[in-house]
Amino acid sequence: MADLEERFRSLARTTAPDLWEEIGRRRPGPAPRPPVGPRIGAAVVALVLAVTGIGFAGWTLLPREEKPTEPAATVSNGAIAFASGVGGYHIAAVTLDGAVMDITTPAGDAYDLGPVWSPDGAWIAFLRYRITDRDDGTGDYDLFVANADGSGLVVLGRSALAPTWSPDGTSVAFQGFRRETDHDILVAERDGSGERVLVASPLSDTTPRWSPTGELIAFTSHPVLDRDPGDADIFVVRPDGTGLTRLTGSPGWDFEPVWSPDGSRIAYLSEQWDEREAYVMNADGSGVRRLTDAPSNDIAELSWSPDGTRIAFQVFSGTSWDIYLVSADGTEQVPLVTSPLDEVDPTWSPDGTLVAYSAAGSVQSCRCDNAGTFDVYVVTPDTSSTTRLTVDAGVLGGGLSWRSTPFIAEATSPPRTPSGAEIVGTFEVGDDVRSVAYGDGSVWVAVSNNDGTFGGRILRIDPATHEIQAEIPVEVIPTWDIGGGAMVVHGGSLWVTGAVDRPGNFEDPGGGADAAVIRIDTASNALVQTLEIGGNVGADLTFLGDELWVLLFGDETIDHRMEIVRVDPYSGEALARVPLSAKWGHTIVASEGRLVLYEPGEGAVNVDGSLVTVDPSTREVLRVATPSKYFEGGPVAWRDQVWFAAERGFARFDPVTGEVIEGSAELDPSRFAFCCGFIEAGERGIWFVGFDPRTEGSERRLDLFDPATGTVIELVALGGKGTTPVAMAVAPDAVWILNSEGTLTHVALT
Amino acid sequence: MGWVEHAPAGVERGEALERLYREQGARMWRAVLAYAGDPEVARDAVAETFAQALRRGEGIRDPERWVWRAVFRIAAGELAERRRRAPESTVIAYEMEEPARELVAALARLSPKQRAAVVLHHAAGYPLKEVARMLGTTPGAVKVHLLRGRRRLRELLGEGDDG
Repeated sequence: MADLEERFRSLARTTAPDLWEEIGRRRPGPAPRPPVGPRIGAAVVALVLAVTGIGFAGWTLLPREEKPTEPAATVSNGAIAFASGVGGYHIAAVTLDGAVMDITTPAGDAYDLGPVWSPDGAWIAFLRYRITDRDDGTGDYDLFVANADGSGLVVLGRSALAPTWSPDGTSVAFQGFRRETDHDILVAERDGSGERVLVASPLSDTTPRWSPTGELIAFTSHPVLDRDPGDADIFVVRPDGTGLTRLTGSPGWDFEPVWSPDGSRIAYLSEQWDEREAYVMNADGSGVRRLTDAPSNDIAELSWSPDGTRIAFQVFSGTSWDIYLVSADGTEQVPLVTSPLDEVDPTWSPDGTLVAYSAAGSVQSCRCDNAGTFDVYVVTPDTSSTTRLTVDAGVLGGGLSWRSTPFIAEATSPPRTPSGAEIVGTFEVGDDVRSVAYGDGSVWVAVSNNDGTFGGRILRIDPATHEIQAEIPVEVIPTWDIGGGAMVVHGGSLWVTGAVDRPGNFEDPGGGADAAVIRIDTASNALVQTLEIGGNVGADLTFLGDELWVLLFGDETIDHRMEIVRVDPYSGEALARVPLSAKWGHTIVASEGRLVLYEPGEGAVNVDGSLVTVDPSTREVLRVATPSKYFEGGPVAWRDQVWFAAERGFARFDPVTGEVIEGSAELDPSRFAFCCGFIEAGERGIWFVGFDPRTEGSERRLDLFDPATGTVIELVALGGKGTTPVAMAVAPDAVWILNSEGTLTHVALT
Repeated sequence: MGWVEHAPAGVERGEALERLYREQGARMWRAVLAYAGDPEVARDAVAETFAQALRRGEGIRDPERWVWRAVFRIAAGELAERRRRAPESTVIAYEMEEPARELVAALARLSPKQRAAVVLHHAAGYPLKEVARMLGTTPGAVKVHLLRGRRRLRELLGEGDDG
C-alpha cells in the first residue's frame, strides 16, 4: 500500500494540461473575494481594508487630534493567556516573570485555543476544536467559559467562534453556525443560559466585537459564497438586537472591526483585489481614514493601545511576519519587531507599557503531531527591551489575551508526592520515534528515517548509563505515531514489524509496501532476517508459545480488511491467515491459547468497537462488542489474564468465553483520566499514563493499576514539558516512556 | 539594455505571468485537482486565475502570491456552484495513477479547510506560513487543520496512525 507521501508523489506525476493558449483567449469573470469570516479564536482581531486607492464618501483627509484615553486606575499587567502546545493543546497563561500556569487540561483529541479573558479577569472564554465528521470546516469549534483557574467549565455555544465579552462580564457574544447555511451573531449569559440570536441576516454574520461602552456590538456581514453578489461590510447592533446600522460601504471588503478603548472609533481591515490595509472610522461610520501603508497585503491582528493613540498590527514583510505600530490617525507607522523570526498576534498590555506577541524561529516545516515552535514575548513600544516569557511553549494561533488583573493561582490540589517511583531522567534519542521495548537487558527504541520510507534505525540503549550501545539501520520499523508496540524481545531476538518499500507490492502497481518482520540478534546486534510476508503493513506482533503471529493493517481504499498472519519465523512463509472485519487495529496479545485484539468500529478508532479472540488452532473468531462506547487502550496480557482500558476504567476479558467482565475496576473519574490511548502490562500490574483531573494543569502522570486488588497507585508526575508519550516499555525495575518530542524518560521503580 | 526594458508594462507583466505559468501552472493544476477532486474545476480555476492576472497587469503587487491565493478562491466558488447544480457529481475522469486517485478521493472527504491546508502544504509544497497567508489565517490554525487532515487521510487510506 502506498503511504501518504508516496500518494502525493504519485499525484505529482499526473500530467497537467497546457492551458496557456486557453488563458490568452479567456474573458475573465468577476474577481475572487478575500477570505473573511471565522478566524480561529481572536480576541482582538484585525481589521481594515481595502485599498486600490478608490475612496468613498465620508473619508476625511484631515488629521484628527488624538486624545489619549486614560487607562482604568485598577489596571495592571496580569497573565497572558495563550494556546499552549505542551502536552496537547490547552489554555495556559504566563506571567511577566515567566511562570506558566495551565488553565485547561488537554481533552483527548480536542484542542483548546483562542482564549479571551473577561474584562475583570475573573473568567476566560476559549474555543475547543473537536473532531466531528462534519464537512463544513466551521462546525468544529465549541465555545467554553471557565473560571480564571479553569474550573467551573461551561459550554456557551456549539459550533461557535470569535467570542467577545460584554464590558460587565455577564454576557458573551459570538459567531454561531445555527442554520446550516451561514453564520449568525448570538449572545449568551456567562453561565451558558439565555442563548439568543442577535443577528441572523441572509449573509454570513461574523466576528462580533462588543464596544467598550457596552452599547453596541460591531460585526461583519459578507456573502455566504464567493460567487454570491455583494461584498463584506461592517455593521453595529445594540445588544438587544435593535438599531442595526451599516457602517461601511466601500467597493472593497470591510471586515474584522476592533473598537478603540473609549468606544469612539473602530479600526478594521479593507481589501479589494489583492490589496489590504487598515482603516479607522468613527463609531457612526463617518470619518474613514486609511491608517497603514503595509509592506504587503497580509496585514492582520489589530490591537489598540489602551490610551487609544496607537494600533499594533502584524504584517508579512516579504520573508517573515513582523509587527508594526501605527498612530491612530495614520500619520506615523513604525516597525516594532522585525526580526527574521515570525512575529504574530500583537496584544497591548492593559497598562500600555508593553506589547505581547508570539514568535517562532521557523514554521517552514511542520511536524504537526508535535508542539510548534512559537513562544510568547513582550516588547516595550520603544523597542528598548524584549523579553521571552516562555520556552518551547508551542503557542498555537488564535491570539493572545492579556489579563487586566494579577493572576493568583489557586491551589486546587495538594502537591503530589511520587510513591514508589522516581524520574531518573529524560534524554533525546531521535526525531521521529515510533516504539520502545525492553528485553535482554536493554532498552530498544525504533526511530524513523522520516524520509518517506518505512526505514529507520533501532537504538539499543544501556538502561543504567543511557548510552546508545548500538545503532542498527533497518528498513522496517513500526509505523505507529502513538501507541508503540510492534516490537517484541523474544528468544534472544528483537522482532519488529512494519513494512518494506517494494514496487508492485500489495495491489499497488505504482509502488508501495509489503508487511514485513525483521529479526535482530540481541547477542550480536546484527540484523539477521527480513521476512516479507505479503499483505499490508504490519501493525503489531506477538508470540503464542513459539508461534509468531502478526497483525496486519487493512486498506480502506481497496476494501482490504485487517488480518492476522502466522509467520514462520525463519522462512517468512505465511503459515496461516485469519481475516478480520475491521480495516485496522492496534494491538494483538496472546493469552490462554488465544489471540486477542481490539477491532474499532466503522467510525473513529476508539469508538463502538469489539474485542476479538481468535483460536489459532481452528481459526475461529469470536467477536464481542465492548461494553462502553469508548476504548482507551489495550488489550494487555497480565499474567494469565487479558485486560483493557475502557471509558470508566479497566475491564477484564476472558478470551476463551469471550465474556467481558464489566465494571471490573472502575476508576474515579474525578481522580483518573487516560492520556494517550495505550497501556502496558508488567509484572506489578498495568501501567498507564494519565492525568489528574483535579489539577489545574495538563501534567502527565504515570499510574499503576493492580488487577489483583482493583486499585490504582498514583506514582509519579512526568513533568510539564516534553511529555507527550507515544509508547511505553516495562522492565522489572523501571518504566521507559518514549515521548513524541524524541525523548525517552526513565522512571525507576522502588 | 535588453528588449524587456523597452516593452510596454503590460507586455512585460504578460511575459512574467507566462513564465510563472510555465514554472508553476502544472503544479497549481494538480494542487487544485487535489483540492477540488475534479480536473475540469482545476482547469477552469487555473485558466480563470491567470486570465484575471493578465487583466490586472501591474495592479498586482506579487503575482505568484496572488495567483496561488486566487486560484483556490476561484476553485472553491466553482466547486460550490457545481455542487449546487449537480450535488452528486463526484466522478473523477482523468488519467492518473491509482495511489493519486485514491488520495484525491480521500481528500474530498476532508473539510474544506483541512483539504486546503493539506493540498497547499503537501501537494503544492508551500511552507506553513505561506499556506497561512494564502488561506488568510495563522500558521497555528493551519497546523491544526494539517494535523486533523493528515490523520483523517491516514484513517481513510488505512494507514498507520493512532487516530
